[in-house]
Amino acid sequence: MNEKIGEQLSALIDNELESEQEELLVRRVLGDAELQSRWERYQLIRDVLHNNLPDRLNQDFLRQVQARIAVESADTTASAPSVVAAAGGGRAVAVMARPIAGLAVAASVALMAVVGMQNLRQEVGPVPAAGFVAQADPRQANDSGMRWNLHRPEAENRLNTYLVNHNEYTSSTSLQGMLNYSRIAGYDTQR
Amino acid sequence: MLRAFTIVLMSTWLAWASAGDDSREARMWLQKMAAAVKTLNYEGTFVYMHDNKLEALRIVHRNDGSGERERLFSLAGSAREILRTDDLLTCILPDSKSVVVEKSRTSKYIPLGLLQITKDLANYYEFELLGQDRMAGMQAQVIAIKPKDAYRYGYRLWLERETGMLLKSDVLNEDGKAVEQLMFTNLVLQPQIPEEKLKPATSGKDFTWHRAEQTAEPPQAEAKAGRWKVTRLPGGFAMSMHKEHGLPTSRMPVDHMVFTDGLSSISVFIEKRSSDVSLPRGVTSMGAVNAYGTSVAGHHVTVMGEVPKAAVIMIGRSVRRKSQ
Repeated sequence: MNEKIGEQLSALIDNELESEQEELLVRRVLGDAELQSRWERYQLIRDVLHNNLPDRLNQDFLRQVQARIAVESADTTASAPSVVAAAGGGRAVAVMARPIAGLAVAASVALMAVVGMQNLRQEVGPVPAAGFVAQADPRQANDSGMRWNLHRPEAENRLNTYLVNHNEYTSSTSLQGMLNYSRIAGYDTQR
Repeated sequence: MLRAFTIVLMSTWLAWASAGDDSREARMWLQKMAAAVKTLNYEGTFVYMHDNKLEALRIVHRNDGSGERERLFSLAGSAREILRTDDLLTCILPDSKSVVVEKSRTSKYIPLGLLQITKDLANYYEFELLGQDRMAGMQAQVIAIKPKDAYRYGYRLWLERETGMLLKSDVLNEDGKAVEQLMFTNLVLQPQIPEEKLKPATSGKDFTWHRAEQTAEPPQAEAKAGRWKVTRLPGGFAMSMHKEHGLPTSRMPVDHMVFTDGLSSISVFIEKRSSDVSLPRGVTSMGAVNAYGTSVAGHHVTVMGEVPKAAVIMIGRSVRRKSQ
């Protein structure tokens, strides 16, 4: 049974499932914290195998796996179905030092989310690498922003600001709207 | 007079019909979808997959006599929420203990693209009916939007048969692979939605509140003339907007042009190069969004959109300063 689920997760990640199977599996994953962890690990393993991770991460890989396991077993307060246990999370947000000026909120569903999410995401700091949580060390967190496939938080922040404005003025179709909304709103800064 | 009108009407119908009955029906489905997402009551859970990540979100949407209301919240990680009314947008972000409140622009909603599907769109995309499927426990019509060139993405949509409500969507890249997927895992259509379901889980009481009114609005010059031009565009793309922004994260004003083919959009941002931020050059991407950065006449140009790399590269390389 375990084997079978493992195969299915792999197939899901590789986009190889029929929609009905996909849907069933996704529902299962959503309802099961352990399955979600496996999902995350499979993703990461796949990334390593395909060399999708920055070099630095490759070196830290084992250490992060160990740290991750420690976090997961210690965390009893994670809300279900929590995909990633909360820990660390980048620089302390003293205030939104820069005003959110002049970003008129667009009408469609998506754009709304973008304004708040993206702007504040800049303040919270860049994101730890796929599936792994930066352990309380902001210096480490700064180095591994994976949202854009860049590793420079400053440049990422500017791109994110641009993305906010792009979405604001362009997502006039509900299709793009939904996608943009999800693109940003579902983004967990602690991941 | 009537005769002339009839001929015009006939020509229009023939033009649409010549694009194929299937195609016309597909486009009608898309119009139905756009209306459904906006006007129906619904609540459901959906997942959003991109860049090998799986995000789970829940949405509650109500549109009745008292206006459009919406609540979107994350099901994993911190309890992020977005609440929308006709007047306000409120984002609750526990990670940073912040609440952001902005004005809503619903009243100015002018749907383009899918809601005003014109024959032009058919020059660049093929619209196809792909049959029936089941999704989120409902009967769905599957629609394909296939790009006719390598400068735009394709889409595959699952629409609920009765209402046209979007159940699943795939954004497909040049190789036919899904770069982004959105899928409802459960969805209830047209329920009664009591007020409680639209209230946030967190009150944001001890959070820092950032309100739009408190922020200074920089002058938004409608720079129609503009100092920049884009000399090469993928077919069917035309400028739909041109503005100068004062971005919160930049001291310099940023020139912002938007080009669209009716379905996909591409932004061009141009700002004077400064030492405090070094912008990326070349191509970077996030999910279905590609960006291309380059330098022109002491300015940094960033092209960004939900389009393949080829499109942002083409545009980026063709930006020129207008000669005075």
